[in-house]
Amino acid sequence: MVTNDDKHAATKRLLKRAFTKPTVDEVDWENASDPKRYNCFGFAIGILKWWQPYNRDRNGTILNPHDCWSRELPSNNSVDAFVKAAELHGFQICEKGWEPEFEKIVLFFAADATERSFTHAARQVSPSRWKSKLGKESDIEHDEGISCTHYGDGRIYMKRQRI
Amino acid sequence: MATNFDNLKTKVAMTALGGVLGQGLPPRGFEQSSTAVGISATSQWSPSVGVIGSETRIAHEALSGVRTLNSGCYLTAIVEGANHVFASTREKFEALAQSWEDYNLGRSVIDYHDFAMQQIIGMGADVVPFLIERLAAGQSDWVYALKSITGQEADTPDMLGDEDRVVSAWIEWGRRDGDKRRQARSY
Repeated sequence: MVTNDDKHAATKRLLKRAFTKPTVDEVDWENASDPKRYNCFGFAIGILKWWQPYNRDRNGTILNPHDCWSRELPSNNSVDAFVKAAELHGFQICEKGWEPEFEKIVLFFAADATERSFTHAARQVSPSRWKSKLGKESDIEHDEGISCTHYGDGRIYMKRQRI
Repeated sequence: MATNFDNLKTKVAMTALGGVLGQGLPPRGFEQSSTAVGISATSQWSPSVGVIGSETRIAHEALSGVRTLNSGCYLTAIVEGANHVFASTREKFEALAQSWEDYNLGRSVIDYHDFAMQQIIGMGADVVPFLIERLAAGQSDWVYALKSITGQEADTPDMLGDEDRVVSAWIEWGRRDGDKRRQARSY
């Protein structure tokens, strides 16, 4: 049930509006985190910041200095830029599937004729379950088959050795 | 308060006319409540609207949209595809901010270029105190608008990617800016 004092109210509203999977009833809300300002990519790689390419003017002035990115990375929202960001933190592209000795993440992207835009990331927590952060809202556990109007159909899997 | 622009043109003209005639009273029916795009409030009569300048200027503003006193900020906005007139810059800002936040709900990469954000930036200095308020409430995204409106860099390159320091720098900048505004008003 959605109530005004429900800390997950916005997340539930989002699920109802834009998701066909998971539904509000399929989420384990007891284990969902409070909404905080880090995004799915930060959650997936374990560095809880809002990872977003810098928005620069033509002279290099950065308009979103509060966001987390690296000057060495491309300043665009392509999934390839996020793949490079994950590579900087030890991840490599791999096949899908559970490998217990590796941390595995998946990057979602929406593709059109000209570009592949990064839309979402999740990390695998068991052979059939994933966790991801929904925008600025809660992070939730779900099946791999997450489906949302924002997130597109593209998937790139990446892994790094567990420490 | 937000209300349909076409409906309010007549009301604005009546308001201006009331001021021109020196009545200082709200035209009958101006205090109606209205609801649009999920934003609801009650219109407030501002007696000062009628004394902002010449009859010609008031008539022009009545026909072309409303501006706040001593400011270049229009009270009109396009929110969720519909035209609206607001009772104050605060209400216009809140409606646009809500629209922008709602649009970005669930997005993993924030869209700073959305038209609602562009309209907020277009409101200029009037909204700087509101933006600082939001920063102080932990909503760091508004640094983008502050930087665009003021053309200043409260943050320094060594703060890049450090959200807490960037936000603190802008809140401190806002405190100093507020002091300057108060001093300017006291002269």
